Amino acid sequence: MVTEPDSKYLIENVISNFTREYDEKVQKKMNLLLRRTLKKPVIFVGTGTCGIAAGAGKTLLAVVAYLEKHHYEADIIEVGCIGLCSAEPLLDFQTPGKARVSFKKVAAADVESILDECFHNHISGNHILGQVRNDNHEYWEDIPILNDLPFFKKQKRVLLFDCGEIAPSSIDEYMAREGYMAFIKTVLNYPPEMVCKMIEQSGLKGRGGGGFPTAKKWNVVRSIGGEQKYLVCNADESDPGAYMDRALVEGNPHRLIEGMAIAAYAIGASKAYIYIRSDYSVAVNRLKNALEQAKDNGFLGRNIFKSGFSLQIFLREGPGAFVCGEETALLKSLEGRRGMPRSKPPYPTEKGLFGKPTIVNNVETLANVPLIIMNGPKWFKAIGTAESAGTKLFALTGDTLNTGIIEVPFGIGLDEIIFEIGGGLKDDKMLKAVQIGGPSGSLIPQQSSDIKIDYNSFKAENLIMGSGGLVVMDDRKCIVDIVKYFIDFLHRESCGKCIPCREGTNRMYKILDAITRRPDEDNSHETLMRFKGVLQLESLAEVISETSLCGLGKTAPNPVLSALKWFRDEFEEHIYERKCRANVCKDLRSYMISAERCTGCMLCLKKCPEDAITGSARETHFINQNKCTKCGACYDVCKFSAIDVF
Amino acid sequence: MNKIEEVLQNFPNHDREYLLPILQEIQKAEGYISEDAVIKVGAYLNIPTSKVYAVSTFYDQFRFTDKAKYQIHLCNGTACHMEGAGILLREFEKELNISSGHLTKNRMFGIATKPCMGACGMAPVVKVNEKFYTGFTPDRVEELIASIKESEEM
Repeated sequence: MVTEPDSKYLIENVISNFTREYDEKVQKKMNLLLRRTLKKPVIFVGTGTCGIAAGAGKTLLAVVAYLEKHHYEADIIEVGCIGLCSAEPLLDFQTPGKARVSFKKVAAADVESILDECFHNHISGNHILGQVRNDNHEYWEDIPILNDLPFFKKQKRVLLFDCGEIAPSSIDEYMAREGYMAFIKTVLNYPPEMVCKMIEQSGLKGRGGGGFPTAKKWNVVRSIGGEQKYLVCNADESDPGAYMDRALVEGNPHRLIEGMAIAAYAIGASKAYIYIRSDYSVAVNRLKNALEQAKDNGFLGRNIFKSGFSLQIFLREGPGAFVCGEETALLKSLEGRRGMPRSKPPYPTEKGLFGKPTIVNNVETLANVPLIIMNGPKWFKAIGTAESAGTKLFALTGDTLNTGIIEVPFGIGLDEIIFEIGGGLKDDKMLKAVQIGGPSGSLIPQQSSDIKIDYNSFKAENLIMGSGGLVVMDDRKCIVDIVKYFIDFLHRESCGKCIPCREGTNRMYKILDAITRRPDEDNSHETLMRFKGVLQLESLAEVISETSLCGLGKTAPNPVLSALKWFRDEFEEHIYERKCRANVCKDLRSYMISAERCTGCMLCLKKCPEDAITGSARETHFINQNKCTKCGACYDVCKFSAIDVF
Repeated sequence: MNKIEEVLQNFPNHDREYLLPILQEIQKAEGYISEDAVIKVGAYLNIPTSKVYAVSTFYDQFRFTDKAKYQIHLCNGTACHMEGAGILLREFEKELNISSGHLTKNRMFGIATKPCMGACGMAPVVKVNEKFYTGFTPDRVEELIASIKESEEM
């Protein structure tokens, strides 16, 4: 009888075996943790934050209750997210010898019927998502292979490979997948210069938004001798609409820890910090647990694997300030100060945390590191394009059919992401624009949607990749409103240190707010002034981006500038015609019924989709402004021109 | 010994580096950062009270009044905004007759907007204490508030 191996066994027989060829006995034990062989059925429930929001907690309870009621023996494993958030809650079932099947949108009430079918070896119904490709198992009939689904087919899942598959709470499962082997190999065999060299050869660039070559940064700190140095992982992901790092940490926290350990070794840092948003409670807890496990197994601490290298990793929860994503602000926050950026140089690589040389890297960047060490820089360089190597995570949200976390090779077309991975737009609507890179990113109009996703193409078009928010908008969305939303966000999040950003974003917001509202006095002079405001937006944007201190201010005008470039006609419509073609800016108009002209024909009352109009036959009608959605239906239908527009 | 002192005991090191973790722990224990807490933390870490207050007001996480029994969080991420989080907020404000960031007089309800919660696939998202409501629509606001009130009366 083969039993599951413990951590000690895995360290001695798997991750210390750099040949990666295992004898049969070891392989058999590994297979249990890899779930190639099973002793009893396993039920997986996706309990990432997105899963929990969709009701995975209740689904999980229903599964427990089901097993108790029927006295079935099965393991229940909580996993991270496979990325397809629009199909949550996800439940997977695997029984010995057969392929693992995923079910979508499994509410607590659906558990009974789905598991009934699973345990009786007959799976059907509309909850089926697909089965996992694994040639060691017998496939189910008439169930699509998960990786052949359009959502997965165009993706290149290198970082996300085991998210949703591996139990994030178990270090053993990670080690059975050769986790931490890259780190052990590094500290025992490779000098730090060589690690930096490998990263350089791989062409890895910082994924936080800047796209700065990672090895260049590392080399600066590595070559500074002697004193205390620090590594900081920036996990303070607070772009609205971006949650790639969260998914990565929730799905497999050990990969980040391993990446940090290798990076710290390469630059000679004995202390490292993870600065993660405190709102990410699931990710925080999984990381805490993973750090404990790494410590217990000797991957962290003093003299790691007798290599002479020591490392401590501290977890700090970021108390919520968008600007702390900027590296100098983040370091201030770690020191217990207000998170306000300072001017550079000196760069953190010279004077960083507590005045010591510091490397700040993003989660996604660090998670790539163990893969590069394991598979070699050439393997990494071969993914993506010549200039932008590797893959990029995006949080695909908005009006596509499929939404969630995706991983694509650089060089993929934006249209491929939207129409193949995203499955096109909901309700067969037309694509209007794509907002990429969060509040400091840019709008890409529909006609440019064939742009390739890589650093060079973006640079050529003057676009910002940002960290990975990708919001798809159909023609029901108002560009002016979206831009106003981003500027509002930035003006609230501005730390207030430098005036162009603090006052400038505020002015921009006021101008944008004014054109989405009904003016107090509606005359031509007023309209002209509003138009002048828009003209001022452009020069204001220039001043803000040229004179602000940090990245937040420098990039703050991006959404405004790109919107004015591509959607100027919409701004003009808002000003001159007081019309919002998407009918989002409701405050532009209000409708009232003239008592003199209304005949009480009841036509508008019947037509109003919101029942906002009251009145009886041959009496003057009245519009309830609280209910009115300004759709204009009454205006169109009235035969007596009794509806006044203000 | 009160809760603040208990928290401080867990931080034997008096470095400023621990200011934010200490404040987070105090908020966890007491629900908010009181005047007393600001003074005590300042004395403990040897930082002027004004600076402790300056740091704690900088960050969104810290509250200076007790929280409501039912804290309603509206996600204000991009996806939620596009799906009408703004209209939802207005509806909640109207229903409870308070504005965002405030509590009702009986401290039963509070409304606040939150940056992206990371559940964009199911926008707009509303969270009441730890319970999520996804794909929320303005016409469900009245019903939700009423059901909470009802469960309170029972």
